[in-house]
Amino acid sequence: MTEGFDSGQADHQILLSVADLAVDFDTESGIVHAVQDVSWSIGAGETLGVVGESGSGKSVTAAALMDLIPITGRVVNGTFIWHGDRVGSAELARLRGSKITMVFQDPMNALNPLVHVGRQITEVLVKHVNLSRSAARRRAHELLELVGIPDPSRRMRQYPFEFSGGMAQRVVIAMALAAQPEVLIADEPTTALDVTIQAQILDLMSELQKELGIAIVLITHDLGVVAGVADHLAVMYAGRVIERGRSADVFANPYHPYTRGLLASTPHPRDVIDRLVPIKGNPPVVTELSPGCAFADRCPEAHDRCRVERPPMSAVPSHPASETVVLRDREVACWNAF
Amino acid sequence: MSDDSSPASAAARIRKKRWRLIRSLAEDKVALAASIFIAVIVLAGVLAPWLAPHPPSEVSLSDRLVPPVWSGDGTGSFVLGADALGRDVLSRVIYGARVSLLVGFSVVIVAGVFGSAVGLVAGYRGGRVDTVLMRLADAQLAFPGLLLVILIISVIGSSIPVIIGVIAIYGWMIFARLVRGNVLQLREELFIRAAVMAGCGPLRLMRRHLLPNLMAPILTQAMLEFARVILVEASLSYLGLGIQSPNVSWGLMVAENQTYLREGWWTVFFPGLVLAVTVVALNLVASWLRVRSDPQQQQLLAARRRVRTEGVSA
Amino acid sequence: MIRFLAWRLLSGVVVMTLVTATVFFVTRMLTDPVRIMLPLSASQEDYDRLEASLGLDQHLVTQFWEFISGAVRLDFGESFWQGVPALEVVIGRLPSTFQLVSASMVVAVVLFVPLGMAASLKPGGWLDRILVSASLFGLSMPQFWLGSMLIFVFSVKLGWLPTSGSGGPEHLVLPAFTLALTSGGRIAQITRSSMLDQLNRPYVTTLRAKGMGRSYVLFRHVLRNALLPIVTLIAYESAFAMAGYAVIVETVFAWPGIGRLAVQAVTQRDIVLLQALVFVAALVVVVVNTIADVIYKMIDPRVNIS
Repeated sequence: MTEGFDSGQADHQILLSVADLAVDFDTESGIVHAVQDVSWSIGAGETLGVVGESGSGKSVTAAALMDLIPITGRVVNGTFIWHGDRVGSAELARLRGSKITMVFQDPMNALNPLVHVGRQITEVLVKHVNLSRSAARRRAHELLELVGIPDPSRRMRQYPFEFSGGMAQRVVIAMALAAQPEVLIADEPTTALDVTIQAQILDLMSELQKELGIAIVLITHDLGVVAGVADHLAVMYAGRVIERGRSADVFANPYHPYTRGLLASTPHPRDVIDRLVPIKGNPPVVTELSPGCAFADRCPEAHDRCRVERPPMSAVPSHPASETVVLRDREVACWNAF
Repeated sequence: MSDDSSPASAAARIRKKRWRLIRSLAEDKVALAASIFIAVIVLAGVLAPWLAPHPPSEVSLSDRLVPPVWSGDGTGSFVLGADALGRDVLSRVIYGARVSLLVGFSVVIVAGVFGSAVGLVAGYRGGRVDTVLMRLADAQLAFPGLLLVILIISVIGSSIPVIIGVIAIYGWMIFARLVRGNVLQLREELFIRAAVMAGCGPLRLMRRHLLPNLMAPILTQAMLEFARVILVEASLSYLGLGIQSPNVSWGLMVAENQTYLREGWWTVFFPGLVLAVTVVALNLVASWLRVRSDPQQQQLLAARRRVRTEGVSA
Repeated sequence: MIRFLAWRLLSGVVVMTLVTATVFFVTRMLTDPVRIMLPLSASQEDYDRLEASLGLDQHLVTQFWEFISGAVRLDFGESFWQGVPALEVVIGRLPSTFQLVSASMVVAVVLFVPLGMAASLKPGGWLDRILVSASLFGLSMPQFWLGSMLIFVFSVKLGWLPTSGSGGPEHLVLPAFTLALTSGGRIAQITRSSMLDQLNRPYVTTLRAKGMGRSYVLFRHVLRNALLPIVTLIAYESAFAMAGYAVIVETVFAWPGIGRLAVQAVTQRDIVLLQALVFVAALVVVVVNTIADVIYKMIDPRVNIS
């Protein structure tokens, strides 16, 4: 399942890869395979969009990477590759918070309510950059300026409850940038914010990316969020990646019926679509999966084979419409794709 | 809806509910043991005249401080030994259950009904009524409760109705706060708002929609209060301000025999032990009730049962 | 902060007024205090003299005014039993009760807060399960019985500690532990649930994602948040112990504090002394609660002033 993933990538400068990740959760109703056979990779300075509905396992992948899986869950399979080398859990632990950092969905709750905002930034610098307290304070001041927070010296002495949602998310981003990471994982960074603030935060993130050359993994349920920003896209459904490729390709030629459905049900900022088409039905409970394609029950194009045999991720042959461009990592898991 | 509310099916539904409750009790070993213990205490209290081997106040000076039956010098006539006046400890423990249950039950009924009514009105009406009632409850919480009770009892004398009255005065606001909090939450629930919009009057709303949803938390609180009240009664009796001789109370027994701790530990040990275990049992049943009536917890329990019976399949 | 304190002070005054009014109502309307204080053999002249000396022959409204203004001046009259101002008697006994309650709170906090924390780190683990059931037993124990049993084991059987009375620190051990076990059960429970609540908050996830160490997260971040309900409970328990449990524990161990004084006042039919006692106890409760609120406010910047 990973042949397509391994081949054709050596020539790109791959920063971080996740391969064949599988995470199980023990629940009261049995073992849930939250994530299976998930692979993705991201190059330096790139943006990877991981898209899926809630429960599709998109956040679990990041949680596994950051060692944030709750105690009821465990990683049962998977490798992480950092700068071309396979890294074990001890090395990963060193990368966490310094080279790989994270931004969360709900900024108001992501900060400790009883600790000054300044200290929540400086503690990262003291821990990972070995700065002295005063040097850390100066650096935190710069970081807050960088993320566009006015009057940083005053703001540093304030508590999270004195910040608005958008401002708090800027603080969280400053915190994530403090140790000069190479990869920033943003898990639904705009979902909890007002629509007007969402755009500001996304703009800020892409500006910072240009300025600092950070790779961003943008996890979202909202195709509209990744549309303008992501270089690559991984679409997840029921714990698996079902389509992957360059963002522009996926948007132009979605092969998987689910991806097509997602596109049809998302208002696109640039196109004016007459009518949004919802995907019928509900995502499956991950304990009750059939041996076939997980999407088969909701798929308008499903036939008998879809229900009994799971389609593997397979490389997409050069599409007639996409000229002669070599499609890096363009894969889809559907019997009907071609 | 129409056939649902027919008396026959309603009765069947209640039977089914009750059966489910009993089954879930049987599954929780600790709660089951606790409820059996409470049942035994209740039976002992009710059937005391038939169960007790001796009249509780029968003095027999020749049997002073006879030890329990299992310790060499014991006699079969005094299973848990005899006290300094030669009274049978077991019989007195059995009779002591009567007072504890009577006081506990009465206080919980009085305080529970009054407090719940206040909470229902405060939560439902809101506004100034709510503010005044809750401030009153707050202020009363800051009162030095036990000292005030002592003052009242020392002034008007001690009798069972007085004890019930003063403890109830101190217990109502716990129910009031609980019910008010729940009503405030329920008021926001969709089905309540739907009922109001459908023209359901306040009385009918309280009876049909609010009260049924409040029963579980009230019942749980009642159990906890029962435990607390029994402790307070025993403490008052211990201090000489509660039940007076010749009546029997577990707290009074400990007080009467404390000076004989060295010569006859059993005269102090057993009444206190039965009291402690009763309070623990009531607390256990209360926490079982709370878990039972929490829909989220119930779901977990159901899931666990399913996993157990069908095995893990995924 | 000043507005906050002013508000607390005001609500304290309201509570104290209510307490005073209740005491007045109980002692003047529910009964005839003169009858209670006099021996049964007293003559009508004795009655009249006592009634006049207590000011009970005046109109009820005048009496109430006298009573309230007396309370404000902390003048409750002379203790019938001791023949000195009642307030003096009460204040003379306060240090013993403070000593007992603070010793028991120190024991309860030192013993049970760390236990509750440790249990919360592994919910469902062996320590957690033991603590949950042990704390239930602790708070269900009748104190007078627990105290008696401790006396039986440690004084009568082992002879390690004195049975009762006051004197050296060895006298304090058993009563302090008796009080601490009851309060400790509740303190352990609230510590556990407060820690569990905080450990599941998103900010803990953030801290872990920031690569901060486990003990750093626990002691520098989680504990501070978890402390809020614990502080409130400790204050509540101290107030409750002083105005309630102390009566029982001090009676069991013949500890010369205000609790034992209350029981003695009842035996001596000294209503004046009881009034002073209830008033002082209420004052202590109000002060302790205010201190708790101030601490709470110092820990939590969000608490707003109303």
